[in-house]
Amino acid sequence: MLFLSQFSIASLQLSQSTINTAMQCEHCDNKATVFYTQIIDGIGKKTCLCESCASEQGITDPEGFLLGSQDIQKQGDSSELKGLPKGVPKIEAATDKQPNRCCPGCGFAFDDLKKTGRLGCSECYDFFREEIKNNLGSMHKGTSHAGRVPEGMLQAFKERQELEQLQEKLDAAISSEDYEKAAALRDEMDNISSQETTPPEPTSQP
Amino acid sequence: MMRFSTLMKHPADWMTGADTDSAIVLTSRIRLARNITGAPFPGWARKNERIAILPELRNKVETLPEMKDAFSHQLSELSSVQKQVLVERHLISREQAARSEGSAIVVNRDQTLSVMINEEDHLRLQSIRSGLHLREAYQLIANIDKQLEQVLPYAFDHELGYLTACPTNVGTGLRASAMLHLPGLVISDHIGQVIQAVGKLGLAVRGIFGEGTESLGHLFQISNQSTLGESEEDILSRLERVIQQVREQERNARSKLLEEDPQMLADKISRAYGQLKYAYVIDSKEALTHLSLVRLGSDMGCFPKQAMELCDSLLMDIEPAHLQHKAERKLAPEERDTMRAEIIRSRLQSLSSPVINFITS
Repeated sequence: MLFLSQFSIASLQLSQSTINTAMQCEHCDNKATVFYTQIIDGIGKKTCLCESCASEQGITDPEGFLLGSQDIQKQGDSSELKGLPKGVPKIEAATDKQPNRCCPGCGFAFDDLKKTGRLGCSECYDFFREEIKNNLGSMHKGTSHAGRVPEGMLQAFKERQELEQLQEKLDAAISSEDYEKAAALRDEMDNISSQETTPPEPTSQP
Repeated sequence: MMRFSTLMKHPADWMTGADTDSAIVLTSRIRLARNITGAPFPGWARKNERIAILPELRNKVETLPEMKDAFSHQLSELSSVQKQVLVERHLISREQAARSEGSAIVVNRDQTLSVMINEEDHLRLQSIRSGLHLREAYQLIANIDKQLEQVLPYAFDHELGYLTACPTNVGTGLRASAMLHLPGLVISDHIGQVIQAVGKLGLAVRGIFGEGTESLGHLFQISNQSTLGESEEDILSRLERVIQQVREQERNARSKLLEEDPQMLADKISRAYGQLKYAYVIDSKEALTHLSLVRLGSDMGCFPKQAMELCDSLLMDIEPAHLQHKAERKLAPEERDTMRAEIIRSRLQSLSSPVINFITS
């Protein structure tokens, strides 16, 4: 318990960003699309990676990184975390309650939403995504955006939606054991993803 | 840059009911909430963070061609009466009026567009049109939005759309509303049913000055609540359809009253006229109630056409801050009531007694 108290507030976040900031991957020169934020005792560190470096680092599943929640034990330990800063303790779900997590962008705690009805910054939506989504149903017609998209983000937005649709089809193909179709879908998805990571020059390869 | 006095001298078309069909739907209003990435929302930001981000935002807004020679001020530069006047003109929100340094308002010359900077969100783009013209108002504001998105890094999420300080606005960030004059439904006691029916469709009905206010002068505001999961077009067409229906209901209520109880109607309209014309002390609530009935009378042909315009500009000019601005000093409530009566009496000089031609017998 003493050991744990040193790391009383530890949380990790993995997010895929569609925001058009031209950030570079810290390991190669590709455009960073995966942002990994870690806060320990209030000190935050942000790591920007491209998708392929991210999966090399073992960062693949956003849900798999909710350190501080009980899930981490089910995830197993080291393999998922290899390459990440040393000294990240394995949190042995010390308490029943989840620690009061704070947004790495602005320090806003989710509990504050209940008091003020407002969030701290746009990053809060990423960090508290699931909690927020759980609360949206009662106020809105739907839970995902169906309106206008800023021009600069239209391409990324469409690709993203396309990928999500393909993923659904892929899941369906796999569950119906149609592996040929699944393979084709996977290739199609890879194709879109690779276009995404090398944006400016259109690939003229056959 | 436009001065406050200029803004006061030239009220916008929509404030005086310029549209030929604003008898029931006075105005249509569109508001878009927008934020930029990498900066805390104004409500959560520290004061110095708000101040730091303001010049950039303000500059981008001021350089829009639509905002040429605009009225642009930090809230800290405005007196409390001036701020209140802007609230009464629906150019800023009550929330913004409470702010000072680090918050600004930019209004175009004909006061059809206003941009609140560092209100609840970094940007609140707003446009108002006379009559039922939601789409037209939306087009105006979308044009500005499209220009701003080129030069500002908007906070946008692939799943949740435009990100806003309050999750109730997330998605399109679009709030569309119309202001309706519904004396027929109030007098015939059907307003409760209508409010309930509109509420069931996921739309909100509120009093004249939005959230948390009672309805004054039989004026109601109908707006969308949901901003996520629907396109702008869907939101606007649903709202428009409902407003058209409410307008139809109000028309029916008026003709029914005419048919069933013309004496009562003639009595209400004529007395309202008399009260306004001969009052020496009148509070805001009473004035709005009578003006509403004179306005109704104008629609029923008891007064010449200009009467409606006269009512609409009076609605605004007799508000507390407008009175104090005219008086150039703070006024106690009793002083305001006297001044209000004075203004109404003088404006009604030109309006002759009602002609009641709907009583046949």
